[in-house]
Amino acid sequence: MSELIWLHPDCLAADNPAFQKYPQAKALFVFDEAEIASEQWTLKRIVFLYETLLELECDIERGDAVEKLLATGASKLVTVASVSPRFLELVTKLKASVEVEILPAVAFVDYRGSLDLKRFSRYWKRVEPVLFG
Amino acid sequence: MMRRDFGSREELAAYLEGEFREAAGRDSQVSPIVGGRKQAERLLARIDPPRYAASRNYLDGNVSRLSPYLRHGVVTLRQATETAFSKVKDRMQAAKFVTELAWRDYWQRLYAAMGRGVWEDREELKTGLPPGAYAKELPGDIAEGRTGLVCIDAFVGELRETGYLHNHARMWFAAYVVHFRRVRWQAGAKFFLSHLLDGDVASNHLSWQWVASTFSHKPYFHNRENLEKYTDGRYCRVCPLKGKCDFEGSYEMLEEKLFR
Repeated sequence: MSELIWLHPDCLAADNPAFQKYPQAKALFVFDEAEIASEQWTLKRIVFLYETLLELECDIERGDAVEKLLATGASKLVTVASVSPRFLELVTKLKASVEVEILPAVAFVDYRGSLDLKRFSRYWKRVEPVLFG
Repeated sequence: MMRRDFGSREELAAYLEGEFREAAGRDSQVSPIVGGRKQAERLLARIDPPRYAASRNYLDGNVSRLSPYLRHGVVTLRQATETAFSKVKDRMQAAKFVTELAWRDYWQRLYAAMGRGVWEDREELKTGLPPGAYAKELPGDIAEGRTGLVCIDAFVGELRETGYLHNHARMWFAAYVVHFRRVRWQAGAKFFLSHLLDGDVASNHLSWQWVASTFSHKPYFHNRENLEKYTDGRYCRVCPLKGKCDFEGSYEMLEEKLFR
């Protein structure tokens, strides 16, 4: 098996960068039991995500995300970047066994350079002119 | 592999309740908010930036309700911004709406820098109280919606039933938990994370920190007049505690009562 799109809870769109780059690839979403337990999700979040997934071309699993993704036998996983520590930890674990291509998420604003994040006002002072000219 | 064929929403919910017993054990309600891009696009089509700017602080205001879809990448901040700009002649007419989208981008950038540090106080409290003055757990009467305060109990009911709360209701609830009940913000943040369809550690926890004052210059709190105004009195009108509730009084009086 070649590329597999790894869908995670931050990138659930049919036009996300992974689907755009690999339109023929299969996709898999895993309801990660560790994440559900850690964030104490209730049934309504799972229903909401499931309904979202039913509109996408993908397989759905539940269990340990790393195990389920590796069990597909894919030679490369393709996904969209997320800043969540959980995502970054999963990537580290997966990379021990399989190639992982992480595509940048669509940016809110094209801002090059460092941003002072001490307060929103400082961030906004830099970002606002890019959006509003 | 999990199933993809369902005859109805009820059938889907019943299947998931069987598959995710722990999550359903915490709360098995199904939100009237439907997942998926189709619904997100309906909401995008309804964005009205000028009306949003004028009414967003009111519970009945013209808010987009896009947050669960933005949180899960069903639509992007970029798409929401471009849609907002497409609906106005001058981009500045969409400024308020886009500023609120920017908050999510800001929280995400901070999350990238802070990682799991978002669970810890980012700065010291500005309430004059030591961290030990705050209870570690969320009291049962709050989580179960039986405080007797009609507004707070209604917010809890709505949160549990729908997985959504208007932003202003989130702020009032957080202020109640942290300042009026002196509970650590983390306890409230966990409760929200569990129930909100848009629950996201970055936006959620950092906003709780903003209310608590560990990520702002001063604590956020409200009085009853403020809550009554932006809810059109719907809770106060039927509240047996009206005139004697925790939120009565001027901001100066409440500040004196709540902080040192």
